[in-house]
Amino acid sequence: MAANITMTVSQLNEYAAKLISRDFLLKDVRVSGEAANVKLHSSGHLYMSLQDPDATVRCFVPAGVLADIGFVPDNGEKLLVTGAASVYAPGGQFQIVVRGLERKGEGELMREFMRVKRRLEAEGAFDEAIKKPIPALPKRIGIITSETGAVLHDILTVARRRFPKMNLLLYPARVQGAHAAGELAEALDAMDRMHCSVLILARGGGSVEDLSVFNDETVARAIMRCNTPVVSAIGHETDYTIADFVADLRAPTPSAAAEICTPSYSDLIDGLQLYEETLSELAAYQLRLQRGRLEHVLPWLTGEAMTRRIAQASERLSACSRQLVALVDGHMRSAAGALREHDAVLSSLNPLAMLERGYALVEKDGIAVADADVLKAGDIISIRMRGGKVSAMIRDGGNNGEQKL
Amino acid sequence: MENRSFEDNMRELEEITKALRASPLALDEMMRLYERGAALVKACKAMLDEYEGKVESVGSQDE
Repeated sequence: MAANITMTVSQLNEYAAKLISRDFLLKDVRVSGEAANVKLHSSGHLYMSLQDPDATVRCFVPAGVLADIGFVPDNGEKLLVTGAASVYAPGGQFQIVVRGLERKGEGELMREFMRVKRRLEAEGAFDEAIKKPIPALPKRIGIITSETGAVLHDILTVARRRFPKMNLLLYPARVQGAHAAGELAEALDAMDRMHCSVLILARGGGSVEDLSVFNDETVARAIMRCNTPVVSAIGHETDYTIADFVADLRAPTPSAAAEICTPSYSDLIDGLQLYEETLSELAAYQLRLQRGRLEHVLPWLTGEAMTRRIAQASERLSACSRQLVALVDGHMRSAAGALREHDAVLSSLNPLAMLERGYALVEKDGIAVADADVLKAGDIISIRMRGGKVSAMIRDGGNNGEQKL
Repeated sequence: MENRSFEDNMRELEEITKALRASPLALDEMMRLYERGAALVKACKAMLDEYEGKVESVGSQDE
């Protein structure tokens, strides 16, 4: 039995190494797995593990090969490794000595990405002009993301901190995998009908392949169809997907998306309080301005100035009154004078005054007779004299002769 | 003021304060602006109080 032979460790490992090295298949293997424990040595060599859900294998990337590859893989990246599986005798380790390394599916994904990007860009889907503004005070925020993981938790934490009573609507969705693109498109269409003010589409960090669903044209077109503004927060700060380009706003992280979409309740209340106080102050300021103008005019309305003006007006009134009286008086006097003159004239012409002076008035048949020619002998006349009336008969004279009466 | 957005109200408040800072206004104009401003602040505060803090879930990954 082999167990009866005692070997040294070296011998054992050398044996295994030689055995493995003789295997035809293991000389040239292509292995897919996830990178882990990536360590770049100061010598320039890279040490890492390649994993699948059930097993892990060590990988050794010589410095020269690493230079050809041109990049250092991240932990978690899906890789395609080519090389030789061997046993490193001194360490007793089964490992892959890597000859070539590439990101799994990277070439095809990149080509698809460029194709979709060019097509949508030509349609104007990336233009700033068509981006919808994010509302300052949303009535409800919709969130499309995976319900597992830290992303949803981070978003909810930030939103609740900034605006505790903000209404939120969640649509849990798969954010990677075979059917995720169709599901995300459905999620976006459904949420667009739910009357949210804004939608957050979020996914945590991952490899290019993990994020690839957000480069899918179906998802991009669903975002473009949305009437609700869409904020994308996909991957790490440096990751850009097609979804980020067609979204109305790209946030660098899911927390930043929540920060952008959720206003600060306390800031809003403080702002309103400030407006309230400012309005009162400005109203008071306006009143002071008005009062200032009033005080400018006030000296004219009170005290000495007023008394003086009243006295002046009163003086003018008296003067006018005197003038009026004088005018009326003058008129009255000249009128009275004229009246007296007329009176004298009239008096002198009064026939009764003539009787007083000794003249007589002759009447015949009640009619005054001024001319002797109208009388003849035998006429009965009445003679009015100072003392009264006498009647007489003409003896002769009148149109008979020239005898004067 | 039902259909006006919060942002519209805030914008009008800014215009009102600008107007009140300007040279003296007629008394009735000043009162009108002040009352309008006070009404806007009240409406905005009411809008902020309308929230119920509802966190709801839609759809399921089984659909």
